[in-house]
Amino acid sequence: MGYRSDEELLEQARGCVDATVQKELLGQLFGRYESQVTLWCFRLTGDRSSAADLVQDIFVRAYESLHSFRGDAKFSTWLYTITRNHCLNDVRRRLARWVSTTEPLSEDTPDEDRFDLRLEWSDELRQMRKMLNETLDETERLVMTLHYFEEMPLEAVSRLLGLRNASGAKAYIVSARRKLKTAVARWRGWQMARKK
Amino acid sequence: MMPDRDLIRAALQAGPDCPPLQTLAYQMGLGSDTLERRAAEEHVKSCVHCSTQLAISCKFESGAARPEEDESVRWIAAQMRSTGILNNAGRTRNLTPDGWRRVGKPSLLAAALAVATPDRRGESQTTTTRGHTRGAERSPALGAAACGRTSWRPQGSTGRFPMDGSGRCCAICSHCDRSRPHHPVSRQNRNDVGASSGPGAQPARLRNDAAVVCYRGGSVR
Repeated sequence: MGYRSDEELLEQARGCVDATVQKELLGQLFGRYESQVTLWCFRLTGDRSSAADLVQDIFVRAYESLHSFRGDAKFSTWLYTITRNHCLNDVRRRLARWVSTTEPLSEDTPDEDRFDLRLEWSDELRQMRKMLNETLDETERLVMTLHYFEEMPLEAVSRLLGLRNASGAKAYIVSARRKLKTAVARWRGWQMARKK
Repeated sequence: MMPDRDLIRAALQAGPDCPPLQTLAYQMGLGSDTLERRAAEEHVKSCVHCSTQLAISCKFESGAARPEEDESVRWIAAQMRSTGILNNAGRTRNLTPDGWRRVGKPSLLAAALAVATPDRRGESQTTTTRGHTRGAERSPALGAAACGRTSWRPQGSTGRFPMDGSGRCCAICSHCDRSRPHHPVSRQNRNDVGASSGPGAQPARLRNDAAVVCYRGGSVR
C-alpha cells in the first residue's frame, strides 16, 4: 500500500470497524512522531527520566484527545501543540513560577482561547511588536519568544535551539535587548521631535 | 509604563488578527496560488508572534537528534520499550467515527498502540526506533503510552520508572502484589506481544483480564 498522509491514516482509523486494523493504523500514526516528541521533551527538561514521563503523558493525552482533532489542521501541528503545552506546563510547575491564579494552558484545544488578551494595544505595544519583528534576527526572535513569552529557562532554550555558543541563549537575549533598546531610543526621539 | 519583561512578553503575544497556530500551519501548507496561503504569508511576514510560533513548530516537526543527544534519546526509547505491553485487551471496544471520546482510557491505548507496525517514513526519520521492526518493540514511546498506567505511581518512589536499569518493576507497586518480587517479562510473553503486530496476527495472549505485564516489563500475575 502506498504512503498515506497523517490525516488519511487518522480518517481511515476513524472509519475502521476492525479493531486490529484500527490499532495498527493508530500505531503507525503516532509512531511517526515518536522521535520528535521524545526529542522535544528531552531538550526541554534536559533530564532523561522527566522526559520519559512526559513522552508517555503526551501520547496518552494525544490519544485521549483524538476526537478533538479536526480536519482543518495538520496532525503534526496538532500533536506539537499538545506536546508544547504539556511540556511548558510541566516546566512551569517544576520551576514553581506558575502563578496560582492563572489557568494552565489548555491542552485539548490548544489554541482556542488565546485571544483573552487583557492588555491594551497601545502605541507602545504596537511599536514593540514592530521592533521585535524588524530589528531582531530569527534566532533572537525565537530566543526572546521562548524565554519571555513561553517562560522557558535559558538552558532549555539553548538545548531546544541547539545553541552551541558559550553562554547559549543568554548571549542572544543580551544582543536582542541591546538592539531593542537602541530602537526604542530612536523611536522615542522621533516621537519627541514630532510633538515639538 | 510596564517593566521591560512585561512589555516584551505582551508584544510577543498573539494579536487580535492572529489565527490559531494550527490554522496558520495548515494555510501555509496550501498551494502557493491560493488566497488563504497568500494571506497567511502576508500575516506571518508582519507578525512576530505567528512567525516565531510557526518556526518553532517547524523545528519540532523536523527534529532529528544531535550526536550528543543520541544516547539519551536511546535511553528514553529503551525505557519506553520496556514499558508498554498489552493489558485489558479483552475489554477493548471498537472505535467508531463518533465514539472517540468514549475510548479515552489509557488502558485502551495499550491495545491500540502496542501493535504499532513498521512505518517506512517513521523509520527513516526516527533515531529512537531505528532497527526495531515489530510492534511494541518498535514503538517504545507508544508502548509506554499504551501501558495505561499513567494514573499510578510506584509507591514510595519519586518517579514512575525505576531508574536502576534493572529492567524490573519497582519493588513496591500499587498494581502488584507487594509481597512478591517482580520479574522481568518472559521471552514468551514478549513474543506473544510481538506476534500481534504481524499481518493477520492475533492480539497478544493474555493470561487473564487483569494487568499481565507490569509497568516496566515485570510480569505481575
